[in-house]
Amino acid sequence: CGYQFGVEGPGPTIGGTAQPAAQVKPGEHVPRLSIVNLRNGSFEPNLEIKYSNYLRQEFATSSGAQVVGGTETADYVLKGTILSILIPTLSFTQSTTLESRVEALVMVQAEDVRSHKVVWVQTAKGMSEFFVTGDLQFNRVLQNRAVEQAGRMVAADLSARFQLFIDDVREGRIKPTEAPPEFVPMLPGAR
Amino acid sequence: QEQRATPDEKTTITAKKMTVRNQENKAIFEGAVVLTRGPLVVHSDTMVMLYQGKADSAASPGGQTASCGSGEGASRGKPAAGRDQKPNAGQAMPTVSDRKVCLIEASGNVTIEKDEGRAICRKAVFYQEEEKIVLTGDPVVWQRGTRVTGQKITMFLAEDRSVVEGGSHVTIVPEGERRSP
Amino acid sequence: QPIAASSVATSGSANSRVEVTGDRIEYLQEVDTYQADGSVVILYGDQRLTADHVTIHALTGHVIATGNVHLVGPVSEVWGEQLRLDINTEGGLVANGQVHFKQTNTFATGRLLQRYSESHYRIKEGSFTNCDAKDGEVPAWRFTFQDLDLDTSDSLAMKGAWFCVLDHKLLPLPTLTYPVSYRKTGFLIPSPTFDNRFGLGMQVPFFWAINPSQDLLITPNYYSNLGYGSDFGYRYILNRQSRGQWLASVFQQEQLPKVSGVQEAGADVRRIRGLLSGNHVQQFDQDLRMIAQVFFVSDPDYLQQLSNSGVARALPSGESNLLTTQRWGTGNLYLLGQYLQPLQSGGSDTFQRLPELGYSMANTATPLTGPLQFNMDTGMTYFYRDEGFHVGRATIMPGLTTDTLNLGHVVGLTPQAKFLESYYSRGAVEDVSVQRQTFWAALEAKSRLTKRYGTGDGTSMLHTIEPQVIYEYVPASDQSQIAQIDQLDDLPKKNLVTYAVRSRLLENKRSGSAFNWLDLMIAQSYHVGAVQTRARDFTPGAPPTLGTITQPLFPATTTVDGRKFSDLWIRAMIGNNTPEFIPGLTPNTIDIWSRHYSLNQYLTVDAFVDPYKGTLSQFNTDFRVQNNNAWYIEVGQRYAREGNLVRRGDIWNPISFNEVYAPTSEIQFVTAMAAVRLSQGWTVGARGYYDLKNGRSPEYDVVGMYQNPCKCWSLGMWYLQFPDRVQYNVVLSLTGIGWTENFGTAVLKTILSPIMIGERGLPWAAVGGPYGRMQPAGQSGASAIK
Repeated sequence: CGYQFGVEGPGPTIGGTAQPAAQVKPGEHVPRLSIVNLRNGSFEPNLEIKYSNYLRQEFATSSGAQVVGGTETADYVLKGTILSILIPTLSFTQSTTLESRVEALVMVQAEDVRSHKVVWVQTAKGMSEFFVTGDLQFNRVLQNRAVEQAGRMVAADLSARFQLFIDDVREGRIKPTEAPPEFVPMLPGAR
Repeated sequence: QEQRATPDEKTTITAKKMTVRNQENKAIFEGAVVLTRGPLVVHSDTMVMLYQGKADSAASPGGQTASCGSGEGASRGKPAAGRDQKPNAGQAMPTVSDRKVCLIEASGNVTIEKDEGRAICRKAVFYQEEEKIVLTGDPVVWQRGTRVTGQKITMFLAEDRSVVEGGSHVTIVPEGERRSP
Repeated sequence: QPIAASSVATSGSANSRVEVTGDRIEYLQEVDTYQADGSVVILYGDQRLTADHVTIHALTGHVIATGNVHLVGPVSEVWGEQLRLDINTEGGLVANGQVHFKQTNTFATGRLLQRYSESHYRIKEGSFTNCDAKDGEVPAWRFTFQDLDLDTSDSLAMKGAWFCVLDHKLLPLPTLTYPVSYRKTGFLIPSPTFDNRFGLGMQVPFFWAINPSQDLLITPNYYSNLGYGSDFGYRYILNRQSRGQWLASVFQQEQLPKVSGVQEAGADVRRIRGLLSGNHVQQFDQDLRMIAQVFFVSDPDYLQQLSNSGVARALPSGESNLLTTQRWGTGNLYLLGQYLQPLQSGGSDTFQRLPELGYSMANTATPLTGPLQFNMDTGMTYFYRDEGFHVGRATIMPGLTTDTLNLGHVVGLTPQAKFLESYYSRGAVEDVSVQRQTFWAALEAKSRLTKRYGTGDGTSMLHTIEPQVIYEYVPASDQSQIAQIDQLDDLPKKNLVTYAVRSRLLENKRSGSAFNWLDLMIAQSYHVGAVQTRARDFTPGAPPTLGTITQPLFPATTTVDGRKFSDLWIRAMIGNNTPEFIPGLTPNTIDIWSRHYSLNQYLTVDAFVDPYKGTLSQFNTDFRVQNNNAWYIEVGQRYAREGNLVRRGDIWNPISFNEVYAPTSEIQFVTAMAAVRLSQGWTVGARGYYDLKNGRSPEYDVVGMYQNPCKCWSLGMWYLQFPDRVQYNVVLSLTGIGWTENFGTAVLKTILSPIMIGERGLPWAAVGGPYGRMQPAGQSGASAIK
């Protein structure tokens, strides 16, 4: 039916073929990707580590690339910034908020390690709703879960789009030339 | 410092062929004609020089200036006293050298060079009386950063004044950008 | 005789070539002067001068042009009867002339125009407008004056001026100095406000550009039926490491606000009320960063009674954070202070995280852990509160995981485990320290099927199917002594399998961007072990088991008939909801990104289906569609069934449904926002929130805006309707001069700007500046900054 199993993973392959699943031409290897911890440009505390972990987990299994630790052996380095966490109110009465939503906006860019050129830029928005109660600390708990769920959505979206990019580069549909300058914004503080 | 051609400066003209028509008070130079007069050098294919007629000059009533040649060039300057009049019989033939030039007409690949100035055109006429040069036939003049073009360029030498007419165009190039024309 | 010789040092772009053409040109060598006559055209640098007669003094570079004089440059265009110009300095005089500045469409006329440069003129007895008036049209508005000093990169000063509308003198202005360029100190246009409860309002903003990196906007305001006060908006970007903005609002209340919920008796009428909000970001070095975000009001009812936003009036709390983060190794060391100011909920006994010191470490492979990866979340928190006991808590939560162990690239296994050790300085009841240990163990299995479809026209489609299942186990642990403050204190037993399937259909366009045809996720949890029997109860006013309503220590719970299968979560998205950017307006600083507008079209559905009843327990949808800058519509619908509702995720796994909480009252709510551009320069829009269940709307806003054909002025109108009060107003904008600004402008901007991006003459601070499109730095007009 033309569907391919495509679970990649830097870890040991237990049984099955040693050949990576992705349709890789002889002599070619699955692109290796190193993911740097995201920078946090929002005012939501302590997001970088969680969101970076979500990115690594999603990209490891469903981006068509192999996630490696350091940049030494990597073909691409993924950097990014959590641009904003907005929390609009969804439903409310005159004096009570019933439901809110977390909207997480993340921008990432992939740099070619050899040429140091930015070859892929993508923004993604994850959304998750949460109810609001009378207990302020519990509202913060529900908001944290919604922030984490939005982070998982962002990671899954970015990894699927990265696979699209990797496939197109592999099949020569596009060349990993530099992303158009207007789409390469200055990520403040990015190393 | 510019050098001006003083009136008594010697003018020499060289050409492959020279034809003198005394009756018409005209001398025609043809073939690689070069006129030199002090710092002024004029190149052209042909050059026609018209002189003032000697008899005419004595007999002209009312002090009217003598007519200039009688040939085609004369019509350019003052109208000749009478086109069909024949010189008086028995009159001594005026020699070229001791006559006064009233008009020089250079035509065909005319190039005029003088100090830092240079001009090219298809026809240039020099009027001694009015001390002016009229360049026609796509004239172009360069002079220290200025380039002048037009249908007709008239230079009044005595007044240090020149007039460009007909689609005239002057390009003033700043010193930094000047290259020899 | 020498042929004419001359040379001219020419214009500001010194030493640029000068081309003179005309019917007749006379050159006077003695005085080095050219006289050109008849259709004279002079080109020098980027300027083009045409006239009937022109005299050029080559030595001095002075040009005198008479008759149909027309001087065209990149910045401005001048007409006049006579022009005296110095090619080298660009300065000069124009008699009975007109000047038009292209970028701003500014048109000035005068008996005498003194030109200092292409952008700076001094004009006598003339007029000035930013409206179309070049071809003798009567402009919508103009200033007539005796004396005008106009520098388009700096300011405009007039003497003996009149403000005219359609050439009718309306307002005498003996003297007026006005900043034309961006960020100049000065008064902004005062603006009235009408509120059926607060009475007639007036505010007179003054903008102080302290220096290029700091400015202060002071806005004194007054309401006839309420009182008076002032807002102070301070912004700064001190350097690449340090930036921030603050708003302080101080209000002397003279009369009680006549809004619902305000009892006449007992309330102290005359008092000072206020609000402080803002943020500061300090990047000490590459790895050490501090952010401060503050939201603080003088009294809990401040927003409910005085705010002009329905959403703000209903906020349960205001949050302030002070966070310092040091990147250390593969993790972050952080110090956090968090204060949740009780507004419509909570009280003085609400716990506050003052402070929390912690370290969180990403998955890291270490030599010690071999193929395993180690992560860590540890923290020490001091829960302070004004009333009631305080609690100190220390937690350490190391975790282990591995890279994906793929079985022949068909299935990827990821074992994970976390161990939690918590120590509390006291219990919920007794002042005795309490400890708790627990762990979380999980095994996740994922598979992934992908297929690429070529669509023939150079684009391609990627379809993925990703089934995944995770088994999680958390043993029951005794938390009966622990005050339930946040997620680390409430760790119920978990013996849960969560399975999900995700399917994506992505089309890769030739431009390189990808369109999301479908992003579908279906997930459900199954309780392997015992089911839940008691659930947290949100019924407003339900007394907690221990603690108070404002701060439960053990929340109110109620019996629920636990079930093996959780509700089925369905989440679908069609279209891209990520922001799209118009080339040339792509912002590259974080501030602008976070205030962007989505211009694209998408449908999102987020629903829970009760598998036992086959009915929806929650159903949220959002639909947005836009037709360029003609119209757009956004509709959101919220439904939550009465009774048990699934709790989305927990500290271990944000996508798992181990618990329900019960019972909330039913929610049926609709939000809508739309705007459409009509003919004759009108654009109208509206935003509404409607509570279908209670048949009431907590707020709806209607806005409209008229722009004249050349967009040199615009009139914005807004109408805010709350259940207990109404506020309406108009805002006027004179393009390039400024606009009146008040609260309603933010509503106008939110509703209309998605179809007015990059447009000229908007009555709000737009990314493209008052003249539209991205202006070179420092050239967009003066503006009140919000």
